[in-house]
Amino acid sequence: MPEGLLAPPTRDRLQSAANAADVRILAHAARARAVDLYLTNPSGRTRPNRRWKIDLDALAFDPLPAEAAKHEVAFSGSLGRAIALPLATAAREHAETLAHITRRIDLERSKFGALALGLSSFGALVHVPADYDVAEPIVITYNIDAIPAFPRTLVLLEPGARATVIVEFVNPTGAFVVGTSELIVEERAHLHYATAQRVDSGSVAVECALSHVGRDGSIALASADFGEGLILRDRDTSLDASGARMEQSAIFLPTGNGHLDVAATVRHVAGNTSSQTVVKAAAGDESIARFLGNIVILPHAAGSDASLRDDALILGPKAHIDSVPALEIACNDVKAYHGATIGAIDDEQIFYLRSRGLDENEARRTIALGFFKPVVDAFPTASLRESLTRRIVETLR
Amino acid sequence: MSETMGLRVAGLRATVENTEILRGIDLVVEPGKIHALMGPNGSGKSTLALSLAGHPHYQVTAGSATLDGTSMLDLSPEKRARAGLFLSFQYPAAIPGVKVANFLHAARQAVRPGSLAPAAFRAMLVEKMDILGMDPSFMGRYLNDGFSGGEKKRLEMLQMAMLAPKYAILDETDSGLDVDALRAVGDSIAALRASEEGRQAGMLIITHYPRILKHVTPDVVHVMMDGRIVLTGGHDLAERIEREGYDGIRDEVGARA
Repeated sequence: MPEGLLAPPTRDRLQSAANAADVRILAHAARARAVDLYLTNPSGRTRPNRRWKIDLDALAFDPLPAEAAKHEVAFSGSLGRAIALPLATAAREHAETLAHITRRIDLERSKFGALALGLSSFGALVHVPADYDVAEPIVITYNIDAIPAFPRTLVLLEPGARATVIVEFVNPTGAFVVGTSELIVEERAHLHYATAQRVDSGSVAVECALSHVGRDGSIALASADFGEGLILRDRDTSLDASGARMEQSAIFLPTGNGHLDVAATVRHVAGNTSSQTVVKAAAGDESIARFLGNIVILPHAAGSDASLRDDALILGPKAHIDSVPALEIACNDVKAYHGATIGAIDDEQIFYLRSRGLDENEARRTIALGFFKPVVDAFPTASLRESLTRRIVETLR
Repeated sequence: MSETMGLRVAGLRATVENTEILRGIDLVVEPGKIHALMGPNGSGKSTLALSLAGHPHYQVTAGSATLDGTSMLDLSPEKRARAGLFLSFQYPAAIPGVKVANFLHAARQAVRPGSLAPAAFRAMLVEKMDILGMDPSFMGRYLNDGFSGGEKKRLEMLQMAMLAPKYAILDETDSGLDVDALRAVGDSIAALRASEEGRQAGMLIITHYPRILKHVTPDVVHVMMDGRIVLTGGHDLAERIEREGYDGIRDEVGARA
């Protein structure tokens, strides 16, 4: 390991950090078990080739900083009858709601979910009562301090509820953030959940997102990742009952020496469920992106309809993108589709636009923005779509 | 007319991957005139079109090409377009995610900056689409993405109408079109030439078949074979090709088969 970098944390150091975390959110014994699982669970990232830059099973960080964390969470949006609270407050005032969510979300099965579970002392709870439609998007902003942060975002939509939740991170240089999204969408409820972040060089951002969708419920997940740091997402969506739907959209735009690794699983547990995943990736400079898209259709899920579309643009001469589809189908009478493309921007497209008066940079930008457009359109608000478009333009400049 | 006006090509030679395709082209398209360039497959017609538009895969090795006195061969493709050259592509590229309306506006701004207020631009668009028999829903579609052959060619003609070039090269715009689409192309050319901006537009219509020339009457007809223009005449030359094909002309000029 190069001099000056941190080493992976020892078990003792992790246990000390777990003991220092807020006991009201989770008891020490449960935290101790979770950090042990972090140490023993594999990351699930086998190395596809030598380009892999970081050993994710031995990520280096110090879990126990000298000073107390000063992370903050802020909310905006008109809530009406919904609630949105910091996790510590929710642990005091809405313990039953938290228990209702955590009984169904098994963070321990994911390496990084277990880490967040073991060490998290802050986060947010959003709870929308039955048949209530939160008209405005609820925006959760995490202001991350310059030490490790483990924000947990828990969302419960009761039957028939509707809400849009946008999670934003304000990360300092060198941030180390391992967070969760724990989402329960009950029958007939609809959740639109979006997150966009830029991760600078030297920073690490990890998300473990686990979702359950009930009968005739739907979830739309949108994520956008930019930057030169390490970004890792583990997403697992379970369509638990007939009529449950998922739409998942992702933008990856790593640059510099960035390293982006996303594994997204959708589980068709019940029949007549549908899932649609659209990924648009572009890798610049010497960056790496990997997308593992996993469709699991369980034995009793007849009539399931799953599609996965993954398009990648190589923008830098040393950039690298891996697209790894996986289908595990244990049932007849299902529809499953997977399609992937990968390549550089087509010279004929560039020439076509130049012949109409656009200069080469403008042509490249126009083509790349068009490439991302279907996924940008999947984000919930006009201001978010505009800011994503701006970030794409800035990244491509 | 001044000596420099026109799309003037002299002694033009061009290669593709080290194979010489154009072997000395001399051609002058005067402002306001329609020239037809005919010839069998592989004679170099599309190479001429793409070389003049500045396609990077085509290397011009000798000769000159000027547009109203401006030398074009050292200019980038976009500067050629801004100088007033337009190429209607035989195979237009599809660009997913880019809406036709936004693209047309960007292109118009690029070649004729600040010349149309947004309302005037929209009015012009509606008028030109009507001439081409295009449904307004075209505007919200992505550029050539999932378009049929006929739709692509209509969109090329719409671009020509909206950009109002000084000189337009139509590279087999007629190929693969049904009778209605062919008539729409002819109407679009006529409408451009009837407009204030397009009155002096010169055209080079590249085609295999004389049938487009029933909708647009050329002032001059050229026949190209083996990378050279071997015969130039009036409209009667197109009629002769329709009767006899290219074989008679090939024998007459002694071009290599």
